[in-house]
Amino acid sequence: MIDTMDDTTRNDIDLWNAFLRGETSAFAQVYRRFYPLLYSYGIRMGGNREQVADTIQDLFVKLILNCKHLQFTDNPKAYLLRAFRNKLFDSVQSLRPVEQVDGYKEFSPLAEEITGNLFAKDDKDLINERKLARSIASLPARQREILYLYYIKEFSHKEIALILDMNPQSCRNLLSRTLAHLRQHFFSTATPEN
Amino acid sequence: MKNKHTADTAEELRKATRNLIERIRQEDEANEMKTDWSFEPVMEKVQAARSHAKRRRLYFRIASAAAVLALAFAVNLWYENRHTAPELSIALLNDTVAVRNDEVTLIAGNQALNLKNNAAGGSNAEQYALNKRTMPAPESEMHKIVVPRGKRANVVFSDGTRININSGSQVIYPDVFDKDKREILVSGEVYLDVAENPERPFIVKTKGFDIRVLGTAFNVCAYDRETTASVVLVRRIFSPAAKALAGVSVEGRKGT
Repeated sequence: MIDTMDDTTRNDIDLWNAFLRGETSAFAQVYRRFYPLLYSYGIRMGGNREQVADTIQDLFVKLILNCKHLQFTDNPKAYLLRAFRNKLFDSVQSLRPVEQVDGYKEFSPLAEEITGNLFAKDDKDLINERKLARSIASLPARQREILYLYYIKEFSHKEIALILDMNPQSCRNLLSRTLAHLRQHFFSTATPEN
Repeated sequence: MKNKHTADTAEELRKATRNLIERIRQEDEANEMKTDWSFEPVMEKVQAARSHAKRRRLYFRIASAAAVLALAFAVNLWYENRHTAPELSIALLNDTVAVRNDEVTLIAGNQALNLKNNAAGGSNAEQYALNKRTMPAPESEMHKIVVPRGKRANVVFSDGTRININSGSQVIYPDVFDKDKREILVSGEVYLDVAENPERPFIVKTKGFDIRVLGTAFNVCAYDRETTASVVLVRRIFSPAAKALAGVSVEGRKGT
């Protein structure tokens, strides 16, 4: 893995300020600290590996060249994700947030290997999990995205509002609507065979 | 069919949620491990972009230097014409006249009238000049156009030269030019498209300098209150032959 000694000594805001000052060590650290988040997000949003990697690099090239003109922010993580999201949508027209249900199907045998040994899982749990995944896949893209940001990446309502360019209250409303849809779909659909 | 949530199914949903969240997080981690995180390619691209920008700035500076040299070179090619007609005096620009209604004003003789631009890029100044020429008085009359702040004016001179006068400027010109030279006085900013005539140099005089051309388009910015002035050639001249043809030269005034 990567040596994290240097990375964890500074918090996000200090690190970002160093970036704005043009410190080369800060460039590398910000890149390494937030790369995983941007990458996963890009893949979830439907990009392929090359597209996503190129977009992250291009984003950082642009940020570094203009570092003196960037804004201060009290949330560099959300700011970067927002910038990345915009750049990704610009460069890839046909991009849409997708929870790849087929991909999930392919992945589950592997996951069973990992988790099957650790926890006693009966078929029913797996069936329900798949049922939930399908329910999520039936949601509109924006709702899937907000679920991902809230539950998987654990952003707050305020942060999500920043990333998606909404106001925090709209975020809360969207999230509760999404959960309501999800619950409805889950409980109303028949349990699938496999 | 009405949905019936039993305690079991609610708990099942919670469990499924936890499992799915965990699974997706693991998937994310697996994806992240497969990718190349190295930072070097980024800095390489940054260096490449920086040197590209530097090269572009260098080209621009070379091009501007060439344009300045072209102007300086043209001075050597300019020859002195012995003028019999008296030159326009810069002092005329010092006369301040009260402006009517903050409108663009044409002052001719002891008359003052509002200048109105027409769609063709000319103005009623030309009509006035035309009217004058048909009258018996042969003497050329000095005209002064005053353009207040926030306005612009377009005028066509008797030789076909078009002038675009920017806000806060004044132009003094004879309604009929001399036969061997065309002189105007300018305070402020004007854009000129000079009708070509090698026999009749067109001279723009400002407080700080004179510009002499035979036929080209350029912008002069020489506001009274500002300490810097500029001449920008709109039609670029690169070959020595073309320079000679345009006959552009700039001469500073002594003591400025």
